[in-house]
Amino acid sequence: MSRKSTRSSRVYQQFKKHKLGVFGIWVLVILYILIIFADFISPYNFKETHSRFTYAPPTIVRIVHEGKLHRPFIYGMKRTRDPVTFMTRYEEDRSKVYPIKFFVKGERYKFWGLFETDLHFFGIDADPSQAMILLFGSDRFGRDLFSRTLVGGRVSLTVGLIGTFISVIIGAIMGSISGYYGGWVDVLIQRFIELLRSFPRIPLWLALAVILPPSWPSTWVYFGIVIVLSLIGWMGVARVVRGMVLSLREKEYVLAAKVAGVSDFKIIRKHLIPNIMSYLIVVSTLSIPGMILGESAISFLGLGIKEPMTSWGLLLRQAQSISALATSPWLLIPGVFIMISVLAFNFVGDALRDALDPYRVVEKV
Amino acid sequence: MTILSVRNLKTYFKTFEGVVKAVDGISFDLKESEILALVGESGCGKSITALTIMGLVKNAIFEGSIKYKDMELTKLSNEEYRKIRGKKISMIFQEPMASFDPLYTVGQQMVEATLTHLEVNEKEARKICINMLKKVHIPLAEKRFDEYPHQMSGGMLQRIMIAMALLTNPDIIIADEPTTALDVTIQAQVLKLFKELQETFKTSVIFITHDLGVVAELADKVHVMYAGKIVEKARVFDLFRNPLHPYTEALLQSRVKKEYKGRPLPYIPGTVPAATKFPTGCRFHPRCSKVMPICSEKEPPEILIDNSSVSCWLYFRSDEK
Amino acid sequence: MILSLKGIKKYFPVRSGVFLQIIGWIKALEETDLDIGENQTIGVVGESGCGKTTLGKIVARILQPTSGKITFEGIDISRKIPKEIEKKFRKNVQMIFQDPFNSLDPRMTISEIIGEPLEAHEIFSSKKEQEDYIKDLLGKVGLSSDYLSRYPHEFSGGQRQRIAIARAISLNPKLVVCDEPTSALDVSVQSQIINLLTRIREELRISYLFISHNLDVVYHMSDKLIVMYLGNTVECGDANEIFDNPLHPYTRVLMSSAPSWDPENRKLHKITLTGEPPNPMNPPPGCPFSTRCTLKIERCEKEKPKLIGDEKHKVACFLSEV
Repeated sequence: MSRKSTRSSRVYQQFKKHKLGVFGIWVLVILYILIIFADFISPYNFKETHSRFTYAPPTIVRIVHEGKLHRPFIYGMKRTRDPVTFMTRYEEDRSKVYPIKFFVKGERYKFWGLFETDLHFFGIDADPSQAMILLFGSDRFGRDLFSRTLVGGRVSLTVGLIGTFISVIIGAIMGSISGYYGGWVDVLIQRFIELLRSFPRIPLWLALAVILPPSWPSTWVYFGIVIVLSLIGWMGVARVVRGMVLSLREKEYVLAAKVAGVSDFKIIRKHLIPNIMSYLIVVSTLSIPGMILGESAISFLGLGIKEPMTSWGLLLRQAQSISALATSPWLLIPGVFIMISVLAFNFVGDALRDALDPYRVVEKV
Repeated sequence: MTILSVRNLKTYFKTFEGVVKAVDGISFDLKESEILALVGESGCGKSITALTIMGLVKNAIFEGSIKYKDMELTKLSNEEYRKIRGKKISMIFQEPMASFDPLYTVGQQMVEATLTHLEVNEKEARKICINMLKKVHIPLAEKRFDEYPHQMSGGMLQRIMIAMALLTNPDIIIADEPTTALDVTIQAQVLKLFKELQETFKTSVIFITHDLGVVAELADKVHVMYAGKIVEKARVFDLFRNPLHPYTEALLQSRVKKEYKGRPLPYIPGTVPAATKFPTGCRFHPRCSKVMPICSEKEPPEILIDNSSVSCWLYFRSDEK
Repeated sequence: MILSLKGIKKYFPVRSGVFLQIIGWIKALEETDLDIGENQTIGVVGESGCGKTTLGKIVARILQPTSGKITFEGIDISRKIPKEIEKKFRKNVQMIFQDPFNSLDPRMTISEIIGEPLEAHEIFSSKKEQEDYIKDLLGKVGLSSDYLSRYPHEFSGGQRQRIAIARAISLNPKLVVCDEPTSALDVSVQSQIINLLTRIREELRISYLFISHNLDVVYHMSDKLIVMYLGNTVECGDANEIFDNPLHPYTRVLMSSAPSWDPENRKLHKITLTGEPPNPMNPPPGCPFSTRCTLKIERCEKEKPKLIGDEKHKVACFLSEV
């Protein structure tokens, strides 16, 4: 008892010392809260198109109206066309004031696909055909990019989690088998891993992603992507786990358990897995960013998540053309989210590695 | 002539569990061409003493003085220390395998050390090194010179370590358990060589070990350490003939002798205390067979008896005070 | 007879290349015979790489011999054996390792560590019974029963070795392989552990295979002695007999290399042995010690001497054949 508590408190203390890691944790907590309640927090239904607000720039939230302090509000937006270039332009209509309100009724959506509601966390009291609050601007179809970014985060941030979970499990199992039994099993698995790893990553992803039938519904595609990512991600884990098991297997306490007549299965479960656990936690955290980037890459190239479902990678896809980028740079905002989440996971991973008994990991990897 | 003089040296570490008083106020003198053995069990502070003298301990709290000839080592800057270390004072470590970089040949590592401290060119350095290898009886020295550490046995590497330590003809060699990792027959050879070379080069040696057998073979003077303190200082003959401190006596008796067969061995009860919680008073008192009430209350003073000194209340006479 | 080894050999393959082809063999153990009777201690002494640990691991069935025959209470166990016999063997043969910092899982409590063999063999039906038994065991090895829920890192080397001993005797085995049980310990604690092992042997009437590089310690513990060099038994027999009358040059070297503990009778300058043991991948064709032996004759380099003599004392050296 005392050891467990001192150990966890030591890990906690060490972690706390790592300022960036703590910062990363907070960022992640906020991000995940945002995506869990994405459709409630977003002011609009992410699928809804609004023909009056195509490629609208981000709305500015203001607190000063006509030189006087006002509760947070936005101005209405006037859509005009440039007489020379015929480009659509948006101008603020200072005569119309829409105060930002909380718990407003707006577009209908199904919360978590369970029950239908029209309650949104915040918004303005106006019909979307008249005025909209577009924090991150809107896209080609006039869909609210803020709402889409939140909902898209659901895919991007969970693909990383689930994908890593699956790949760490596969990796741990393959690595343990390879290391514990050794011999030709080991040779076979190791050569197989080398073979897989010798393919360039992105073409391999694409090749696997192409296999997913285009007729699949988005949820299936989502799981398909997760599986594709984890099928490729497990190899690094397997290699390191094998190395650790190889050294643990010769540890005298494992031999002692063998001599005592403990079964192989129990030895793996009671001695090997717990002793590589801290490593697995670290490696999981550090490999989530890779998964997030992987999903983004696949979706960006148009082989992943399909409309109307969305992900950060898919959102960025709209920023592929130079002209769109030049006129609507806000389309890059989902990319900022990718960066933030990837960095946050890396910070947390680094901090965890330092906190969870640094020597062990360094020694055995 | 005294070449190294350590006075009231303390090396403390701050850790999660509290302050570790690894070395807690030790004083001793090392004379020219003398072998001084620091004896003690694991955690008694003998290795930390060595590393402190070498200026290799980082992140610790130091106190006291280390004087090499007329130079106060504790006041040196890193840069100045580097000039002394390896040139005037060299060190031999316990694990020969860990003391060499596996990526370079033994020769490259020896030459590098030579070039750092002696003003010679590479060709001359090579010659000096091969010569040295011959002095430590490395067969086929020229060939061995270009081999990697993993191609050699522990005994051979330890002899090369000795050769490296002697390269600059230092005044002092600190040898930290140099033969503990070796087999008995190899240990005997290495010790023999070590002694021969020490006599030729007239180097002063601090020999750190837990093995009183080795001490008896090699040392001129012995300092016994226990829990961060020196408990007894004596000449080697005196120590083995007439140990003063109960701990020394018990250590000498803990040797497994032939006549003990079929009987329980004499032993010291209890365990070596952890450095975070040393007992009060005399740190050996919980395990001592001759413990008195005062032992747990006050730290014993250092008492001089003939040519020895001992920190034990048994020898304290109040009229001397 | 508990365990009997006949002509046991153990070669480890040395692999290299992509498909790990075998490029050579480390000859860890050559043609070794060993009989372990009831309540008998057999000492094995030799330097690192002499094959003593390999022998211990084969006896404890951690390693399979390359060839040779092992019988356990009359049953041949050299190859694959049925589950029941395996179980019976495991119950009766236990092992204590050299490094008590490595032999206890840092993530388990003392009660889990000692309870592991008991649970594997389903000795007790209730947790309470098992706990009482473990408390009893802790008392037997000189530890307080309050330690049950503590973790190994809270103990010193000597205490950990006591815990390892408690685990080894928990199943009431007939034979315990002790692989250098005291060499990682402080001098002042070594004697405690040796005394404990001796006491346990008297109380439980068990046998030891006692492996060490320290001749004095092995002699103190053993009834019979085996001296090993480079995978070969060079001398074996009655411990007293070998100690008083060592015949093999290597045994003599081993005895004379130990420091004297007497500064007035130093013996370093008398040491004549040079060189180191040869590579076990490529041993000399004749007597394994021939590369270092100061008494060798021509025959020693060509022919391997056989272990000859009576039960009390056998030696593998041509010099003693005459």
